[in-house]
Amino acid sequence: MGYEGRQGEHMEVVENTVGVHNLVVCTLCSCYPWPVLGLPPTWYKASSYRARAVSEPREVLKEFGVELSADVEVRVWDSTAEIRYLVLPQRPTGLDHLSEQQLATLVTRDSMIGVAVISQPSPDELR
Amino acid sequence: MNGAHDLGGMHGFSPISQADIDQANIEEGKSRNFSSLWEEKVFAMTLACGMLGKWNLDQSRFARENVDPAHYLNSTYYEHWLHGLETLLQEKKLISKQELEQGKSNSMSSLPASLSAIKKEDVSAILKKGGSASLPSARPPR
Repeated sequence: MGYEGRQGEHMEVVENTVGVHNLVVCTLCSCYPWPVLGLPPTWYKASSYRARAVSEPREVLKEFGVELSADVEVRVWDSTAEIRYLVLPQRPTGLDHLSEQQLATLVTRDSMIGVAVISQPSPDELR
Repeated sequence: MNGAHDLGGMHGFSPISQADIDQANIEEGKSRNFSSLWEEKVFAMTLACGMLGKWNLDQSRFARENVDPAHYLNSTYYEHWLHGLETLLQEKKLISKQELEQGKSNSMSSLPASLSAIKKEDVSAILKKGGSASLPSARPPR
C-alpha cells in the first residue's frame, strides 16, 4: 500500500480471525510501525505492558476492555529492531459490501496494535 | 544484551494505568504519546542528534540499555533515552561532562566542519527514507 520509512522498513501484518487474536508488543524497548501508526502511545512504552503482554495477554486485554473466549487463540508478536508487526483487525460480519474508504473509517489505531477489536458499527458510522 | 530492559515476562508489575487507557479510548488517535513536554523534547533531541551521523540506531539502544539494572527499572522510558543521548554525546566528544553539568556550551566556534545539522525542511524526507536492514545474500536462509 506504499507505506515505507523510518521504523517501518520491514512490516509484517498478522490477521485476526474468528479463531485467532493477535497482539503486538516490543518487550525490549518500544519498536512500533511509525509510518503506519505514528508514534506509540505512552502505555506501549511502559514497563507493565512490555512485561505482561507476553506472559498474561488475556489479563492485559481485559484492562483494555477486550474479553476473548477461551476457544480464541491469542498470539503475541514481539517486535524487533528490524521487524514491525501490525494487526489486521477482524471485519465485523455483514460488511463485505463496504468500500476500502468506508472500512478505513472503522479501523482504529488500537485495533492495529491488538488491544481493541472493531465492533459492529451503528448505521450512522457507516455513512 | 542481558539487561533489565529485557522485560518480557517479568513479574510484579501493576495493571496498565487506567488513565493511559482511558486517554486512548476517549480521543482515538490523539492519545498521549508523551507524558510531558520534557519527554517530547528528549525525543526530538535524540532524533536530531542521531541525524548528525555519529552513531547508529543499534548504538543508541545499547547506550540506553547498558545501565545499572536497578537504575533502569527505577527510571522512566524517556529518562532512559536522555541517559542514552548524554552517554553517546560524551563518548563521541560532542559535549563535555562539564558542559552537560553546567548546561552551557564552552565552545567558542560554531559546528565543526565535520558535522552538519539537519535542516527542518529535510526531516520528512529523511524519515520517509528510513534505514532498511536488508542485506544482499547469495545463499537462502537455513
